Amino acid sequence: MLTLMLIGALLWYVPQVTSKSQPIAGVPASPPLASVARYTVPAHGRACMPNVAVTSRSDEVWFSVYPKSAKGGGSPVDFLLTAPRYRARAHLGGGYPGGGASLRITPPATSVLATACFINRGDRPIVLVGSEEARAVSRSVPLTINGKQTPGDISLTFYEGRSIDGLGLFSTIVSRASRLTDGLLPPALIWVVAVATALGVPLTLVLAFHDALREDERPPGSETGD
Amino acid sequence: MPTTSYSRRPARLRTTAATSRIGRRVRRIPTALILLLVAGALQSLAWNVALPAFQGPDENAHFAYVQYLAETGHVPSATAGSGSYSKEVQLALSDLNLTPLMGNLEMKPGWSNADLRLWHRSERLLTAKDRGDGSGPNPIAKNPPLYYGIMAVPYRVFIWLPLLKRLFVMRLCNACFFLLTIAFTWLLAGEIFARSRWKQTLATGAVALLPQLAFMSAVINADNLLIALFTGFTFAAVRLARRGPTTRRLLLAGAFSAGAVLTQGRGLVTVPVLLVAIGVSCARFRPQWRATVRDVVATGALVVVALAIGYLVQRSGGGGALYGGQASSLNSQPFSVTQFASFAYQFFFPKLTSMAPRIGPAYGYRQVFINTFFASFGWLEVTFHSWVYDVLEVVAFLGLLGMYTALVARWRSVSRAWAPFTVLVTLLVVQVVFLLYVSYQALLGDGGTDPLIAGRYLLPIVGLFGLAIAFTIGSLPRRVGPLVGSIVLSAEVLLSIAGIALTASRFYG
Repeated sequence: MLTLMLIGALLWYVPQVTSKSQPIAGVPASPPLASVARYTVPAHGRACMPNVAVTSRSDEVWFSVYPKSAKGGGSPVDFLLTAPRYRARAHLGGGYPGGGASLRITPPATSVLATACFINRGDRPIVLVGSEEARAVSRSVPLTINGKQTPGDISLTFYEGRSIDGLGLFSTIVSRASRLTDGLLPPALIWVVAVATALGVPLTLVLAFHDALREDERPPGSETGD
Repeated sequence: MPTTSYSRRPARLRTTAATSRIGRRVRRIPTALILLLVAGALQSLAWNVALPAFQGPDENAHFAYVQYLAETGHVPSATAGSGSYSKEVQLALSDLNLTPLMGNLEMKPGWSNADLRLWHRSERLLTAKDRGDGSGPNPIAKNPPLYYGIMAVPYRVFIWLPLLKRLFVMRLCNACFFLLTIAFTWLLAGEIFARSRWKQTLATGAVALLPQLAFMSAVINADNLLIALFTGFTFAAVRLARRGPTTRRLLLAGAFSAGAVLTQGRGLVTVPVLLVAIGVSCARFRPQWRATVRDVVATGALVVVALAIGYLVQRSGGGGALYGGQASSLNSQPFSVTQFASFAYQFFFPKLTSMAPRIGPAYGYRQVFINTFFASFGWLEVTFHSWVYDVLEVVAFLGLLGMYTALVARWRSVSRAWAPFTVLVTLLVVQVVFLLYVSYQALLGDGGTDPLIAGRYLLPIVGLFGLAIAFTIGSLPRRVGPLVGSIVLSAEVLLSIAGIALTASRFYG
């Protein structure tokens, strides 16, 4: 039975665990669910969102931006993050056709809550993609465009600047899960739970089945009661 | 003083006797069951870690019900009130981005230290009043109060813990219902398979390792208690049909049914099954009628009292009708037998040429009996790759074929056990027809958008799932059966661990 599980795990789990991907460092505001909200930022205007968590591993920022009109491509955009003792800027050159933009940023030394601003450096308006659906809007509100409050938020995702496999990501998963228990389970204890589950569940099952089969083979007189 | 020494001695003796009696009983618990309970507890703990707060189906609303009941002693309203959640829950949902996380695969929770600092800052400003102001409207307030009353106990005990820790500990307590489900399946399988321990272990293991059930055990949701009570009821009803109607057996089945009725509207399914179990038991054993009538009336009274309590408690919370009007609204739409029959047929099979198209979205056997019964986590958004469900569907089909073959081949022995068999078949049919009917009525009512059923609504009859697997595999030759059983259990272990890992990486990766 253990051999069966081992073969199954090798065939199913190993390819998943060893495949590499670029880990997400944080999603302050998710891409829209059902309906897309488009926020127009006028020429030389800016759109800002508060309470954007930026971690020490936020090496890249991703958002969707389009030129307002199809003619001539998009205006240049500056992405600016500001928090006490932290400031980072990234620049997107003009002339893009529109779509997802990924820019390198300098992450803070420790995680901070920053204000994220998209500054239109061009002479033509741009459109940023976000969400207005009540169940998809994050805590990074109010969104302001040129100082005016606007409902919804602009979709924003931070990525780490490296590619790692599932095994490499595991310690990050453990520390994030620990934080979401508010520290009730420290990372070391979550490691114990993970190992106990991965080994304990198969093992207890094998032992239970083995014990049951052995009990069935015993002569009726020597049975223990239940 | 002589009086003191005289009164102390018997008390100590009584305590010792009780302790040794409990000790004897604990020692008599079979090793296989203990091991399966350990496997269940480990899975539930792992699920609890993998699943951030309020990321199970309707967990926010169920928690809000528990919190309001525990804080104020009243049930929340389904239709009115100052807010669906307390200020405490509302702030956690907002500060940690837990609301936009619900059902949205692209979103991640606020997992950084900065997020936690923001939440702690909000939490420090909260007062005791901010825990008890979620008076409604809460759609879950239609549920009767048993589950929420039970969960209010750990809530009150751990009220001193901050919200995220309190929720985690409450989820651990909630896992007890999962362990009870495992234990009741063990007893049920023991009734059916008598002394065949490996079949009993296979049936129970199949239930303990069902990923959807283990996942639900880490979610604050009344379904957990309903599943445990249903499984206990199935055991009690089968025992009643197999062994005859004694006062104890009748009251046990009645108590489980009453508990289910007091937990969720779907608990009503136990009532007709209880009647069938009593009927079958009386027909088979022909007991002395006067005593039996008295016991049956007492059993029925249990269920009626449960319904009355549910009604009164809900009326005190501002809900005028039982199950917040859900039960009566089941018949609010015009019912057509032909349309319902066509709806039910097309739920399982492709449409026949002569049939009108099925009302509602393309949602049927595959979605309910495979996808959301085996493995759909979070708010149903966390799923395996589709090939996993394809494999499960093929295996389920082969299993059904195997079960049919086994039933035909062993018809003589099955027909000898006609009484428990009748109870089990009745439970299956009533549950499935009830769910289909509710879905049909919901689709008629909302213009065909929400079919209202998910695979987890089948979990109350998860005991039948375990029995079906053990019966089918147990019908194979003795040398082959345990081998096939171990393959099935191994596959479930892989599926279960993969589900936990998939969910952890969805939320934290």
